Amino acid sequence: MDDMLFFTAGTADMDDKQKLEYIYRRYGRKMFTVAYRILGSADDAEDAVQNSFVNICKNLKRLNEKDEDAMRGYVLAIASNEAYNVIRSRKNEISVDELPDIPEESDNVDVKVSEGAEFRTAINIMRQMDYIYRAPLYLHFVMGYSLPEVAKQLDRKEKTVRAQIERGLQILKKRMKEAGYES
Amino acid sequence: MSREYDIKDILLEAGVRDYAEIKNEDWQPSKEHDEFMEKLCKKKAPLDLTLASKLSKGLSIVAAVAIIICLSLAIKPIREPLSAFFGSLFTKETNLPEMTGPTEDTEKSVVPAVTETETEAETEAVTEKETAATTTSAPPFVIPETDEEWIRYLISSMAKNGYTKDKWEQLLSYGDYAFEYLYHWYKKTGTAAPQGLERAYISAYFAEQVKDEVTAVASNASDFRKIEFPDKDRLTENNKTWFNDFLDKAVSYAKHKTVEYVSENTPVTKKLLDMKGFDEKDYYFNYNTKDIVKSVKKLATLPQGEELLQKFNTVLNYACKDENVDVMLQAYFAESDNIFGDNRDKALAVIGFMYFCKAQNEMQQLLDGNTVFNYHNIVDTTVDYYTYENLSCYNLFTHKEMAASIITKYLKDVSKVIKEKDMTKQIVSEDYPVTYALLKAALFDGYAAPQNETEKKAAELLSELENLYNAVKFGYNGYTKYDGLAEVYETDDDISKMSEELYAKVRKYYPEGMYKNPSYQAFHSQKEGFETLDDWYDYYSKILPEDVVRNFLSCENRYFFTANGKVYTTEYMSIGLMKIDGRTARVVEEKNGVTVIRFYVKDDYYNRVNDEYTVNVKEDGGVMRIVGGSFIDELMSFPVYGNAAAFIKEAVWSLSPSNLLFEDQNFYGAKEDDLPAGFAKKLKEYYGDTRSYYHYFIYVDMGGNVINSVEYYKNVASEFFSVDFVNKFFNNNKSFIEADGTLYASENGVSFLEVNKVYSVKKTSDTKYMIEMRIIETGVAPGVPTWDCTAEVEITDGSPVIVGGTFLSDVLLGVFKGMGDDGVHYN
Repeated sequence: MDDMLFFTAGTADMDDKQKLEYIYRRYGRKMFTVAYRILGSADDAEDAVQNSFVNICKNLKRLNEKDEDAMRGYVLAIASNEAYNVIRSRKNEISVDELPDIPEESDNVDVKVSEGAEFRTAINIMRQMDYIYRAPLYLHFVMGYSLPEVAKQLDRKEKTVRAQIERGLQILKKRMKEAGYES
Repeated sequence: MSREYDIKDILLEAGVRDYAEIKNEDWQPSKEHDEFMEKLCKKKAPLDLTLASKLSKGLSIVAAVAIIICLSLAIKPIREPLSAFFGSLFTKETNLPEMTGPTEDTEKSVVPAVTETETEAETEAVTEKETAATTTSAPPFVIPETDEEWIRYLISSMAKNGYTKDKWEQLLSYGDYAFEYLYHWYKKTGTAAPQGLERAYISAYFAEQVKDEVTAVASNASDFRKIEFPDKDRLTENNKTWFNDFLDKAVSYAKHKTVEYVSENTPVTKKLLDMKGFDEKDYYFNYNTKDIVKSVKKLATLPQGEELLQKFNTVLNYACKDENVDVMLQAYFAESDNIFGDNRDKALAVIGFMYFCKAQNEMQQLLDGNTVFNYHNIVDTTVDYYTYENLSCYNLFTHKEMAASIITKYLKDVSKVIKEKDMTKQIVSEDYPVTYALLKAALFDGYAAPQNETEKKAAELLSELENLYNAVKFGYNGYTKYDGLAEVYETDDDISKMSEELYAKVRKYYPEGMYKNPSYQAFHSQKEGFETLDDWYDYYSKILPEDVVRNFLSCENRYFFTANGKVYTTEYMSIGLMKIDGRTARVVEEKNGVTVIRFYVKDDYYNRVNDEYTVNVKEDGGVMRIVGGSFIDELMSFPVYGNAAAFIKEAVWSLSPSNLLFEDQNFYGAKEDDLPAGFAKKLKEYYGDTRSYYHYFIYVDMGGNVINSVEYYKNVASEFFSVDFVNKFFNNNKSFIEADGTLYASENGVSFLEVNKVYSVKKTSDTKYMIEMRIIETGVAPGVPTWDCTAEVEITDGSPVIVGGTFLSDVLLGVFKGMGDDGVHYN
């Protein structure tokens, strides 16, 4: 009932307060689940959700509640990122030293797949990809944030974000190639 | 062709499927989590407190963030980094120490922001604080070194620990530095901005600065009327926006007060407004001021547009007051004076336009028609009157040359007129104050010398002449109409108060209902002491040639009578008066004891027939008499009419009764099929052309009755022309179309002629006169064909008849050529 109620609200123009409530009602439990899967701890997952909403609050203006697909991807990316932040806070920042050298710009993405089997394969690869890479990819390519903005959102260094995006794309291409698709 | 997907599609679809497959864990949120999220989303109370105050969308996010922060401080694991962040917030950019005081104070200082204007700052602060949370820790206490650090320290310290007299006084001791610094600090955004109670203390600081002056003007400033000032000893978070609110009120207040008022009465507020960037031009400006220079200065700062034109019009009203014209022109000629600063060119353009607006009437009076027309040519070739509406056609600021040329040209033209007409300073200053102001500002010194004794005497004589002329021609008593010294009967009520004798006389000459359409008619008693017409005759015969007086009175004797031992005159139709300007009397010639005096007149009725006449005067035993001159010859000696100008004007009208044809009710328009049948037939016969629409006139008499035959005008014209000429002119003249019992004129068959000026009237023999005059077609602008011509007049059986001259041979021949049987009627 709550979902229905807030889904209806989501179709109308919302102010920020309504939007925040809507996101929590609609995605809060899923966000917890995502975080829990990463952290394996309910307490830590709750912390990640709370941190996620602090982050979401800062970006409410850019969220369009009418674009359901983009919004849920975003909140899940944020939740997963916050979950990793919790881990990171325990283990210190993940090192990027071992990552390969990366170009200055990561926007020259040449990922094109055909509908059907190739697209489904790409989706599956992406779903299996670690959120360390997937979150910046999502914020950059789907939400349209610049690299500095992504870095700010994820509380990572810009260089790190750029490396993670590049790494995520390389992973996708490598796996696609392994699956028999040359992109 | 299969569709292609890119990385965005892949990411989106992966997210969608993730979401669809995520099964909610059997999650029972913890108490802390529920508390956090409920306060954030479910429990509306904290949010509604701010939302109910009609704040904008942005406010809710600030409130929400602030609540999250507050709550986070109590919730693991957020508490620690956020606390660290807020602890370092103040010191992050300034290297100021973490202020001493209980930890709870820190929480108190981050209570939700409540103003719209602070939204961005607060949001940014939150962003910054989170960044700092993981990287910054509180530095050790350091004693402030700079004034800036101390000021911030004092405010922050009081925000944490409460007001203390010592700290407050220390703050005040920084004087202007603190004033300016606190203003700019309050306006800062981001981490450098003051927080919570810091803002409240800054507000209290400024409240104390402005309280007295604001209270003093509150009764005269609605924006300050109900203002409440925060008490520095009892500040709450609610006070933190006071200063912003005050500045808003101050702006509103200043928009309705002049900058002078604000500077004088609320100097501290003015200083704050200055710092806020409230420009001088944003203050209320009273254009309804006599300080024309100030207004012009202000106008020169406005951009071209509707506002400028409106304000220009307002200023114009004041600039046109005589005393302001002086100031305006003095400013114009003050070349070395930097009175208008950078806007001097614009200001001069404005003044030029204003002067033109103001001087138009005098230009009309002083300059001839063609010269005046040239001024309109400068401004606009089609605009006869330079009105506010027409101003919108111009960019006032790009017409400096035009404006300057108006003033320069007018100076030149009017100087010439003053010289030609020997105008004295007295005349110009009394009659043409706007022009006089210009001449004065330009240091003009070309006025004629004051009148000598002869001229002054002549002026007195001319006054007598004027009175006689107006009494006889117009039944008017120039001495006493308005000063109550004469009896004047104008209304029915006046007439009911007449004595029986006077009433009997009035009704004898003017029976009730005499006129079908009563014209204005009034009765004036004439000069005291004139009991009979003989008295009157005798009096004027002493100052004028006797035969002139006799002829003049005999021409117009229908207008006066005696009653009650007085001479009364009948003011007829109020058509205008002869105004002789005695101040213009100048000696132009002296020969054989006769002095020729030239003077100027304003003749409303025969406007511009002539405005310059002479009288010849002779002194005998210290008494000056008029013995001749053009005024006598042209206006008083002409047979029957007395006035040659009146005769020739009526003669020309009789051929072309424009005064009747121009009446709207006599002018019609119709399609060919709707024209009166007989008229339409003759139209086609006369002019042959066909058109979709015709305009035509119907001739009527003075009473508005339709005239049915050209014989009517033949009879009228016969008073002025020979029978032979009248027959030639009217018979078969296409300007007069008789049809269906009505006399018509087609629009292409009428010409409206009028005597524009009578140059001279010369007696060429015992029975003949030659009148030199100018004929124009009326109803058209200057510059159309005009004819300087002559009319030869012969006195036959005591009546003047036009028998020759170029008026007949050239003007009528040319104008009406082709309109009659043989095309030439008048030779």
